[in-house]
Amino acid sequence: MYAVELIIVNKDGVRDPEGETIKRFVIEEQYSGIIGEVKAGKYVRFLVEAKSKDEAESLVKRIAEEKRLFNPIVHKIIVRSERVEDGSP
Amino acid sequence: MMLTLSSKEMELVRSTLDREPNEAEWKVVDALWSEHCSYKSSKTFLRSLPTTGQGVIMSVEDWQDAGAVDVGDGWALVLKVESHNHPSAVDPYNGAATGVGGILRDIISKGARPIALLDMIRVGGLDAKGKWLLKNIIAGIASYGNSVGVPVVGGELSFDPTYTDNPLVDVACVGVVKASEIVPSVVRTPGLKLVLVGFTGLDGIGGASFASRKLSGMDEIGAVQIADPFAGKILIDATLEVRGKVEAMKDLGGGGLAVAVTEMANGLGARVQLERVPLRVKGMSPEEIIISETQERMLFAVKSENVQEVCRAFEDYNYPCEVIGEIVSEPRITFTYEGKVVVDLPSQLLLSPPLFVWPMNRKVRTEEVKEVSVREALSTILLHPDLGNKEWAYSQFDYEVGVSTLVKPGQADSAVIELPNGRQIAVKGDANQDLCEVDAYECGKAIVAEAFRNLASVGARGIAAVDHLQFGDPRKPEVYQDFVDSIRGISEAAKFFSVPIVGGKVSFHNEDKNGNPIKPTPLIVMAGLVEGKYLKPRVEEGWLVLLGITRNELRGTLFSRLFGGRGEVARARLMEDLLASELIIKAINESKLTWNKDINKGGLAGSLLPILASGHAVHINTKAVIGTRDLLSILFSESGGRFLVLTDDPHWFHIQASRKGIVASTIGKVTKGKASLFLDDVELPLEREVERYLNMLEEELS
Amino acid sequence: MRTAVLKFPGTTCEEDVVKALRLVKAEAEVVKFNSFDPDRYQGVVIPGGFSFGDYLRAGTIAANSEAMKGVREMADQGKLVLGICNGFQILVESGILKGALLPNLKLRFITKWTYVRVSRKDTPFTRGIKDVLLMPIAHAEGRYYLEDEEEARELAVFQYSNPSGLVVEEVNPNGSVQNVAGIANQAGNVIGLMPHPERASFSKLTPDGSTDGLEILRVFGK
Repeated sequence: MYAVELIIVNKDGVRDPEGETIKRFVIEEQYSGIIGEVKAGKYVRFLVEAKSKDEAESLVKRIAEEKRLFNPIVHKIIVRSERVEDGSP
Repeated sequence: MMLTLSSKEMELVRSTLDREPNEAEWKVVDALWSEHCSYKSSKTFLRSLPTTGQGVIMSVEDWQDAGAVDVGDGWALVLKVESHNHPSAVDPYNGAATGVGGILRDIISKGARPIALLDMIRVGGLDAKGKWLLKNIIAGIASYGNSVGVPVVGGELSFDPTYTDNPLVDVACVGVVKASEIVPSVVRTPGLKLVLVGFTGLDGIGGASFASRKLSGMDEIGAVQIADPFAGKILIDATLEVRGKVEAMKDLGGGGLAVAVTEMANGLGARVQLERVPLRVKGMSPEEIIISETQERMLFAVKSENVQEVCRAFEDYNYPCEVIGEIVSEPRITFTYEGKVVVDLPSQLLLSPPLFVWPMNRKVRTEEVKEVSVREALSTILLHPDLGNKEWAYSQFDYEVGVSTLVKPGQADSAVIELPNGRQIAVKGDANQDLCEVDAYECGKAIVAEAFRNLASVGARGIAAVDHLQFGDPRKPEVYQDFVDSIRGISEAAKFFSVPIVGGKVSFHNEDKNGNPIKPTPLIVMAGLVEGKYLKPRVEEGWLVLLGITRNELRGTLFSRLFGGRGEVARARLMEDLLASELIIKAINESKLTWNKDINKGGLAGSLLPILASGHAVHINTKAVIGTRDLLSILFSESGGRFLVLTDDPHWFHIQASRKGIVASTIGKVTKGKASLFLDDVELPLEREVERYLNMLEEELS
Repeated sequence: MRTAVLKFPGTTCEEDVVKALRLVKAEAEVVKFNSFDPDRYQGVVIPGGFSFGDYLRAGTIAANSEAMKGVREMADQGKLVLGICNGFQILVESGILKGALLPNLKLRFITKWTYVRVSRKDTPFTRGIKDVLLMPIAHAEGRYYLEDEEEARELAVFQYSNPSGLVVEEVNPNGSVQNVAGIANQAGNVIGLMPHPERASFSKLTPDGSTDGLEILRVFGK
């Protein structure tokens, strides 16, 4: 079993007002200069029965594309995974 | 370099300048001369719209962003409509949201406080793609409108395969301002400082040209813009705070700084130092700064002594505000970057694109007729999503904010809003792609008439309108003919009703992926003042009176969209619309009715849905319907000039109608009970249809 | 009572609240978040809207602001604090009120007129008030959550109910525990609710001509 994490964020070059606002109004008061870019996104976690890490990740990628879990015009996805025994994180 | 200019236009630029423009200059000309900014294919005909009239304070001819009309006690109503069709096709959430942001800035750039929004949405159907589009469009509009605290008070929703690839997302906004405090968008004197607020980024580069081209798929990414409603709210609040301290203001829309600066200078000149523009991303080139279409920015012309005070209001919110240049008397638009001249062009060249009148040709229209029984037609029409209850959409809007929404969205055919002077206005947007597809001229008249009737149905008389003309590629003769015809129709009707068209927009290149144009979809948004009382309609037991003549006109209707055309094209007989509307307003003031509805989509049958859905049965005697004996026409004809009225005094309507020169007939009654239509005493149970009417969108889209 | 109506960037309902407060003769004014002096006021209302765009979580960025330290001071001094909608979200995010406000079960913004039962009448806002009030909600994140349901019921001042005041699950618009629409602190001087009393203060705007919102706001006129 693999725990596959799908992270959806705006593409590079596409604005992220939420991340910008968090940086400008929450972080910069105190941590100015230390924190560079801040990005907000969506996180979806799948438990996948698969033979390999590759198989698990490409399945999630395919689902994300077919089912429009993200809009390729605006978003990019990051897919990463780790092997788990019983499905607990 | 991607330009939309034709070789002829480029030749004209070269010969006027007597030199080859540099790349940045080409981009500036391209933006200013784009269809989106210059109206070069439409202006000749737009000039036939009646733009002046009693009460008009500011109209389109003034080169302003939105029109304004007097609503009494020194107050003016500012009105504007715009679409965001192409951006919404690729990113419906951000496309629709940025559309709302843009229309709001058009209103505030007149110094007016936005008080209501309308949204008119058209998608292909309730298939997977249509659902994805619609859900995201509504969520995008809700996100922006709610976040900035402007209520969405009404709109339209239509499902037609013609919009499958090219959805239409129209948003309209009304605002209020003291007439004496309206801020112009152009300057009259040199020496004023140009102040830019908001960050400039890479997003939306080339959007004006994008809107002026047809959709070609995935390569349009650069033009996608991300909505930032929070920044939009700051911009609204701070702009309205400083409106008394600026000499002119303009929002940055299509064509970015290039267009805003040139149009604001309005024949005078401007010098802009691009290195002073606050940037969101590092390393933008001077050309990119000039044409970037980043949202949530405004340009002000300010006297030197007021600059500090203006900027302080923005800095209070941690929002960038910089002097980027000044207005000069020499009529040239000059952009420099760190001392180097990037663009230097004569104002007049930029403001005078060549106008086009394209070839025209009448489209041959054929319609296949499908056989259908009355019962089947009734079910199919009543189950059509165009007529469905729109609570699913409205409930996502914060329509109570502002504590002035008197008649709420969905409650009647128009919303009613209270103005700061205590008077009330009604607003409504109307389009009719079915009729426009068969006769754009009659359709132009009909949509103005429909909007006028919609306002009358709550007690208001139309005082001003804006139009939005949405068509395919103007270079196609059949498209251009429809375009011209619809303007003629709108002009005539607007003149007839004395409702000036105080602003408008044109959107061409709305096509499917095979290059077929959408059905012509001109749209009218009208505002009216309540004359005396307004109506909060409620369905009760009573008599059904039909005002007006029902004609055998099934072509260009929802019925013909589904079953093909029969009979004639519904023609607009404006006098009937005017007289019937006046009678309705009188009836509201004398409390002679509890509920009424103008008859439009789905005909008489369609207008029964809200009655049936309120726990009532409807009895209709078809012989009492004046004008036709054809049962399909009686039920589904969309002839104008008609209202269905619920009253306990039908006699009053008969007398008043004959005094006015129109007809009224008591065609039946409404009784408490389950949803059934008794057609000449034959019961047609409609519980399934009514159940679906109430829950269709919720079920399909939740 | 001198009452501050606190405006954060993104607040949308400040003028509506002032308009309603004037009806009950409160001495109310809009105060910007960066110029708020708690010592000048006996009461404060945090109105609805989308403070800081509701980015990250509704109310959370405003909860971190200096202005909210001032609100906490007032709360501790026993002064009156009312949070409406986004104001309620800010109060829970800043820990002045207990619990959390999660996304509605339908995961979307909902505008709806709702009946609420007044479950606690030991607060200055609800003393002697009617049993059932009609007010509209308008929010995307209003599902009240507190792990200890018993405590939630004890804190609850308003619970979504049917028109006769029966708290039943069918009328719960967003999935709140115990149908909670609003709560108070133990002392009762700090109250937060999702429905908008200011929108239920003008008879021409309400479905039945009632003005139940004024019942809650009246305390600021004293």
